[in-house]
Amino acid sequence: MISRTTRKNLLGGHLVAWGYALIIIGPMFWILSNSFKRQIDILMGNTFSTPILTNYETLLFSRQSDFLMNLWNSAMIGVVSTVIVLVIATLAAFTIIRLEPPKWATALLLGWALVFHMLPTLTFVGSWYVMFSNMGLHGTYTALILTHVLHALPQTMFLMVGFLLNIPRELIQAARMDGCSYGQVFRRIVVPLSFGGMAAAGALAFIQSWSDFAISLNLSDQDTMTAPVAIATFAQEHQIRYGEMAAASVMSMIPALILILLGQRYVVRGLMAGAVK
Amino acid sequence: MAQLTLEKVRKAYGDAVVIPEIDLDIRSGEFVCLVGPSGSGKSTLLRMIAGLEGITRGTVRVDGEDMTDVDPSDRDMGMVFQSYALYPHMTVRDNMSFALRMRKEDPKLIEERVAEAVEMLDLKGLEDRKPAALSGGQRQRVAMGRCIVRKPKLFLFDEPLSNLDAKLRTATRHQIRHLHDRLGATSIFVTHDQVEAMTMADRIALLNFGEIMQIGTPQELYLQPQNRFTAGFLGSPEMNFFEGTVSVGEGGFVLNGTASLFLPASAGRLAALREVVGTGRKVEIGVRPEHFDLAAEAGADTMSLPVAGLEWLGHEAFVFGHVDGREIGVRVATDASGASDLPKPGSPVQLRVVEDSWHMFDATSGDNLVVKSGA
Repeated sequence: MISRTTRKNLLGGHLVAWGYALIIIGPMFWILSNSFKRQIDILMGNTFSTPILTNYETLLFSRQSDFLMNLWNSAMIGVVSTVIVLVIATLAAFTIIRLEPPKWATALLLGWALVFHMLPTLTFVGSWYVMFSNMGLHGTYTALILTHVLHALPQTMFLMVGFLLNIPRELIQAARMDGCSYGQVFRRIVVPLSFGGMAAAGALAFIQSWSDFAISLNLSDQDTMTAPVAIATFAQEHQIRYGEMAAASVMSMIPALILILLGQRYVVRGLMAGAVK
Repeated sequence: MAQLTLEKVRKAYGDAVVIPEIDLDIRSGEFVCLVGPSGSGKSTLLRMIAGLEGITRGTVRVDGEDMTDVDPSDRDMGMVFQSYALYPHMTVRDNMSFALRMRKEDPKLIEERVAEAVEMLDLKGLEDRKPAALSGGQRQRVAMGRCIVRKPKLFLFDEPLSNLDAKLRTATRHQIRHLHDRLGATSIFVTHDQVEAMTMADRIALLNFGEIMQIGTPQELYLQPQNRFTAGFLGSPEMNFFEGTVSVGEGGFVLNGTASLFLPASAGRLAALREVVGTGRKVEIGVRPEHFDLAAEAGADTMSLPVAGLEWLGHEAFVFGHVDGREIGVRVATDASGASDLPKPGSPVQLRVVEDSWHMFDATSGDNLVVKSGA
C-alpha cells in the first residue's frame, strides 16, 4: 500500500528528476538538430528544416578543417594523461592506506590534494603558461598531458583511497605471508581487485581531460589544439559558424557518452565506495 | 616442522604496553594453543611471530635462527586468518598454489601438492570455484589448504573456527588436529575458546594482560592450576570460589568466611597446608562443579544450597543456586531413567566437598597454595 503522502513525494521526486533531465537534454537536442541545419535556417530560427550533412562533411573532409586532428589531440592527451593519473593515484592510495607512512605525511598529501582540488584551475593557468614558455614546452603534448595529469590527480587519488580501503588488510597480510613483496602485493592483489575503482576514476579523469577548456586554450598551439578549443574558434570575428560548431559539439560529445554508458555502473559504485559498507 | 623460541619479547604502542615480556619455547611438532580473554595479547603475539607486527624488544628464533627482523615474506610460516583472507579474484586452485607460484616452484610439483591438499581437505570438484561461491566451512578449508601446500616451518592459526557454526566447529577441530599429526607440523593456535584449546593442544599457554599465567598440558592447567586466574578461566561452568580464613578441623579444614565450608583432606595435604593455615591469612577456596557430592542429609561437613535452576545436558546435569549472593554450580550425575531423581528447583540440596579435590588460593597474590606446597 502506498500512502497518499508517499505518492505525493514520489510525484515531486519525478518532477524534479524530469525537470533536471530536461535542462540537460534540451540543449543537447537543440545542438543535435542545429548540426543538421543550414546556417540560414539556424539564423532564421526555423525549428524544422530539411536535414543536411554539409556541416559534418565540411568538418571532416574540407581542407580548411583540422577538426579530425583536434579530436585526435583530445583523445591522445586524454588517454595518456588518464593512464598516468591512474598509475600515480593507485600507487599513492596504496602507500597511504597500507604501508602506513608517518601520519603527517599522509595528512600533508591529502590536505594538499584537497586544497589544490578546491582552487579554480584558472588560478594556475597563467603561471603554467609562463613556466612552459620559459622551458620551451608551450604548445607541446608534454605540457598539456602534464597539466591534465595534475588537474585530475587529487580527485582520482581520493577515489582510489576510498576504493582501496575496501580491500581488507588481512588480504594483504596473507599475500605477504605467502611470500609477496609489497610490489608483488600491489601487482597481484591490489590492482586486480581495484579494476572497478580504476574504471570509475579513470572514466572521470578522461572526461575531465576531454572537456577541459581553460588549460588547453592557454597551453596548446595550432598543432596540439584540442576539440573544445577548436569548437570555440568557430566563433570568428565576422561570423559565427553555428552549423559547424553544432556538428563539432555533437562529435565531441560521442566519446564521453559512450564512456559513460559503458562505465556508469563502475562510476556510481566508485563514487559510493567507502560511503556505504 | 620447526622449533620456535621467544626470548624476552615485548610489545608496546607508545606508552600502552600490550606484552610486557614473554619467554616461550615451542618444541618441534608441538601443537600449542594461545588462550586468553580478549585483550590478553594472544593475537598480537601470533602476529609478532608471523612478522606482521613489529617487536619492541626481544628475539624471535626459529630453529635457532634469529627471525626478529626478517620480512614476513621470508619467514616461511603459513597463517590461517580469522576471516580466511582468501584472494577473491582467484579460484580455489590459484589461492592454494599462490605461495608456491610466488616461489617459482616447478608447475608439476605445484599441481601435485594442490591435488594432495584438495584430497586431504575434501575439496574435490571445487578447484575452479571462486571463494564467493563457497560455503563458510569450505572457505575455511581452502584457507588451510593454502598453508598446507607450502609445507611451512610453522602453522599459525588466528581463531580460524570462530566464524563456523557449533557443529562444524567440532568437526573442524578434529580435522585440524588430525592434519597436524599427519603433517608432523608445528602449530600455534590462537583462540579464546577453552574447549578448542583443551581438545586440540599438546600444551596450552594461558595469557592475561600480555603475560603467560601458566603453560602446560591441558591436564596440568585443569587439574593443577598455578593461580586463581587459570583455575577460573578453564572449566565450564566455572570453578566455585569461596573467600575467608581457614582453620584445621577433624579430617580436613574448615573455611570461615562468606560461606562456611568443610574441606576434607588427606593426611598428606593436612600436613602440607597446616603451616599456611596457621598464619590466618585470607584465602580463596576453589571447588569445581564436579567436585561436590550430594549428601542425603545435612551434617557438620555439608553445605546447604537452595536450588534456583537446573541444566540437564543428557549425560550430566548442573544445579545452580546462590550462597551469600554468589552463584554456585554443581554437577550431578544423571542416570538412564531421565530427570526424575534430580534435585527440584526451590528445594535445597546438601553438598559435600570431595576429599583433596579442592584448591586454595592466596587472596592477594592468587597463587595456588595447594600446588605450591606440593600437596
